[in-house]
Amino acid sequence: MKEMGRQDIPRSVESGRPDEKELASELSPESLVEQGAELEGRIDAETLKFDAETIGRLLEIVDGSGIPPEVAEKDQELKGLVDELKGVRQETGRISRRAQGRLKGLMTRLAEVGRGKVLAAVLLAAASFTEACAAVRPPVERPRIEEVVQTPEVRSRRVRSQAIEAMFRNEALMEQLGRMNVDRLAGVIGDFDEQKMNLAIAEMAGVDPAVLDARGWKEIIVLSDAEIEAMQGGEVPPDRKWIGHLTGTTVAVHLKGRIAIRASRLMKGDQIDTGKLFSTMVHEKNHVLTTPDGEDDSTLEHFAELERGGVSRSLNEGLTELLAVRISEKLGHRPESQGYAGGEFASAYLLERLVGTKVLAEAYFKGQPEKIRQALAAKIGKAGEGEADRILRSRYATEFQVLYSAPEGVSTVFDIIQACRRAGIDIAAEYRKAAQADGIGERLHLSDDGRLVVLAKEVKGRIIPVAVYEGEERLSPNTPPLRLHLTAGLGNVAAEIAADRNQIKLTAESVMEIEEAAAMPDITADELTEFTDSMSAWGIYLTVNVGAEIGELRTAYEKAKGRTEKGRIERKIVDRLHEVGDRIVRDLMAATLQRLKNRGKDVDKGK
Amino acid sequence: MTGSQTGQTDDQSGIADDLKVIGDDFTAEMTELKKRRGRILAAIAQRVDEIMDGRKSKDIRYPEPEDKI
Repeated sequence: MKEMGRQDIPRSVESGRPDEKELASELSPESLVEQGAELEGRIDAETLKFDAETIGRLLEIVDGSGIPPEVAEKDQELKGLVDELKGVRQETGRISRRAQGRLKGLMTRLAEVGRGKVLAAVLLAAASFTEACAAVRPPVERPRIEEVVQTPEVRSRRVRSQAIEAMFRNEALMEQLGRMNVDRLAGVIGDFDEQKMNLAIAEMAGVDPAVLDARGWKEIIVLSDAEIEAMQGGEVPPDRKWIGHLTGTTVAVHLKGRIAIRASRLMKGDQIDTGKLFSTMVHEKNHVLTTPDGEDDSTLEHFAELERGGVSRSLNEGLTELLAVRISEKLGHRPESQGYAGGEFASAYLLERLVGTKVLAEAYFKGQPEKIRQALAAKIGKAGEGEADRILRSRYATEFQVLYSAPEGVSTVFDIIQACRRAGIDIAAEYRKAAQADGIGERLHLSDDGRLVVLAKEVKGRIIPVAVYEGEERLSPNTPPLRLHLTAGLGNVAAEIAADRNQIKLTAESVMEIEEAAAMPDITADELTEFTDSMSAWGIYLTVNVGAEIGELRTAYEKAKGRTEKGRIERKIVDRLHEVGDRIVRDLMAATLQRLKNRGKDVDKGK
Repeated sequence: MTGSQTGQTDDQSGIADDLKVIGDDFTAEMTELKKRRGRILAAIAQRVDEIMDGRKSKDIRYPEPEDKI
């Protein structure tokens, strides 16, 4: 803080007398308000730092010694010293409140002597004291002797305190978001009750809360865009490389119990969306609870228990988000919107309609995908577990992991709808009914012949449609019918076109290998099916960017006012996607087949 | 500068002084508390060492190795 007293009054160099112009500027009401706000910030930050350091140091000393909890609890001398430390923490609160009270009084005095226009700023600053202090300060529970041992609550509080402390020391974050938004972030993180969340999960999924408590998060990192970009571009310590995956629209990532949040992605207008932050924390905590630690710190290549059990990564993400919504609701924080517009959330939501939240929660938190498989098989009838397994499984063999996210989610939606159609269940109608009642902002459109599924979602005023179209043509007699994944993208058209090309190349290679295998003299039908599955995993996909095809309609949607007008344009977009699907099946198929025949010539050149 | 403006500047100068006083008082009080905290933490560390060494805790039975499952 810039401090100034009478002895510091600016003086003219020549005369040594006070420089009236500078003096007037330094003593202007605006400058004084600014100085007051700076002092207020310093009081908050120092109080918080003091508190976090006190708890951190106490835990370090006691936990670090390995002293058994029952011994610590019985030792009266130790108990007395901890009580004394508790008194110091309470004293910090008193000092802080006293300083803030004096500051508030001073600002009111300034309002009386200052110009009228400053009054509003002064009152705003004064009003922010209470709010900011309430939001910033960690929970006021005092340490009891039993907290000396590292209980889950203490561990959780320490992680959160350290996160908050780091945020207030983070100048780049302060600069990007502003003080009040950092206060908001700190408020949600400080109040987040990890153990209450675990109890909600325990009730929902029938698991022992102690098991969940044992998997608490280890670190929460909140970062500015500048820091993340630096991590993506420059030298990053090996244990921080994973944070570089915070690209595109990603809000947060996790690795081995640690989570990193990109604060700017939580902005709604010029304010932090605290509801979104809450559900993001629940989402990442769900990952922490269900992802065993991997071997390598530097990548995200560690898999959730459901993925290890054969569930696709996109469906695992969808379930993570769906359960984050349900848990947030249980804790009284209904999020306004859901993440994942690529079918991930919708596929989980459809499964919820079919098997219920409890089955999904049990399977997810116990790492038992067979629970979903069995419940789904019972629902879709004669197709049985084989079809249920195909719905849950990844579409791509391991070598295609790089492309896992885009077509997979919406393909799962397609598969669920088709299986339900065969079983006589109008799941699309159930989806629409439930989504409307539930406030789910992702809309599902289905063509009459059932060959096209479109999911449309509005994100920050933009419509994001994704679609799957299934043709009857096959790229090879040994492959399933071709599927087209139509995407209008999330923004980076060039990247998507590059991905399209890569996809075509991989598809071509996959088909050629299947044909080579089929030509082997001693291969059995079962072996060929197994090989085909491993190469294409139930479908051969082409991803086609249709951003240009719907560009005008999309612009019209963004400009349209009112739900009726937007709905009309949305239907036009769906019709256009249908036309595009038809055209691709009719025309592009021929070109694609030709391209496959010419493999090694133009395909590899990316033409 | 008119008389009333001068008076106003004086008031504002007084507020600037008070701001500094609040900041200084807060710093001094926090410094004092940090010292107190340091002393208590040192005493806790010493007590923890004593307990672990078993020097002043004859009344406390430590878990035997076989208690640790």
